[in-house]
Amino acid sequence: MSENKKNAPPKGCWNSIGVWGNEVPRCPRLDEFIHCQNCDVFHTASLVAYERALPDDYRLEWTEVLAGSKEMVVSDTKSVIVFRIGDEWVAIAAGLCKEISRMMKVHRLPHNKSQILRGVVNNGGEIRICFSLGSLLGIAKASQIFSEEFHAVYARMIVMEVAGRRYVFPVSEIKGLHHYRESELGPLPNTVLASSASYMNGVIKLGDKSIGCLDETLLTSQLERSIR
Amino acid sequence: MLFMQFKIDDDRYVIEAKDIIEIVPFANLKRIPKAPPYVAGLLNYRGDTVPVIDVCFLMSEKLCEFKLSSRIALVNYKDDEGKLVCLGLLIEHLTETVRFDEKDFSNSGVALKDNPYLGKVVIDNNCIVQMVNIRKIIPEEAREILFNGSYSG
Repeated sequence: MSENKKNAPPKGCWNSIGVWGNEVPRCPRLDEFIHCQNCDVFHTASLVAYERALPDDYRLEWTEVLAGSKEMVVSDTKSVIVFRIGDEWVAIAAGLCKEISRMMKVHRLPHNKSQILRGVVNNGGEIRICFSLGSLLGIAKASQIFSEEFHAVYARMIVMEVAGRRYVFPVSEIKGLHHYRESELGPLPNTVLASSASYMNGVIKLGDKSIGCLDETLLTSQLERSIR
Repeated sequence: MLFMQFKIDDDRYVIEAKDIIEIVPFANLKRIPKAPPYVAGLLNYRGDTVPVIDVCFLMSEKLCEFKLSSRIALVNYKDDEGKLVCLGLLIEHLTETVRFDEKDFSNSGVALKDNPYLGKVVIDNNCIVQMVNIRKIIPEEAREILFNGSYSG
């Protein structure tokens, strides 16, 4: 019994040698459980917390919650991948994005005069056509500096698939995935360039940024036209 | 099979999770005058009136304590006509889910007329855990009070 006690972890161990603390040596149980919330010591301690008396107003608060109708989870959210081209933030439906890769070398095509058609790239052994969304949307090269201290900016290539066809285009920076509700999609402001507005179906707000949501059907029909 | 575990004193009991609609905190209940003490009261659950039974009292003759671990399990209860109604079970130490294999349960060897809801037992960590059959949990007299009125579920 005393042997057991000696090996028992200290009280509140999750705050010292566990995941919420940084004391060394680390808890040996972390190797097995990875996170304190999977550990029986933490579990047992949590049961003690449940044995406290009900706080003031707790019952009253819950009585009101239970009397009201149940809050339903809204499931009309759409998921987009947000990226930057030059100064502009735009987004496409996340499901269309098949791959985000490092910049690939673009082989220019002889006698190509189109600004939209950049050339071809070697995408995992397959030749894909590379487009310039910036040219299509009429977005100039970035005028501001986007990189900050501690925040490096990397240009990437997005491989998008629409109706079985893959399109590759470079972007200045990837922000990441974002979810929005259908109701959050606002109309395009009048200040948006007519050329780019015709490929977007609305604007969403993300922090202080306005993000244009690209419509893949409109976008790809124009990309197809540029290679004919 | 997944079970919800609770304790009466130090003894462990489980109810089947598939019968549970939701576990809710110990909200205020409307008391029913002159009802037996194991009828804790009526809960306004999303606009419906749900009778709540104090399982603690039913099993140990002690009223359920006002603690965070005392919670109400809203369960699907089959009334005498076989109709499913919502019933609240006020239980102490209702904090954990556990998994047991159905074939590990064995008969307890004790069957009392007063508590027909007590079911088979299983051994877990050297402790005996007993299943509670919620279909039999309400005493005959309470079924009359609770479901023969105008309660419509």
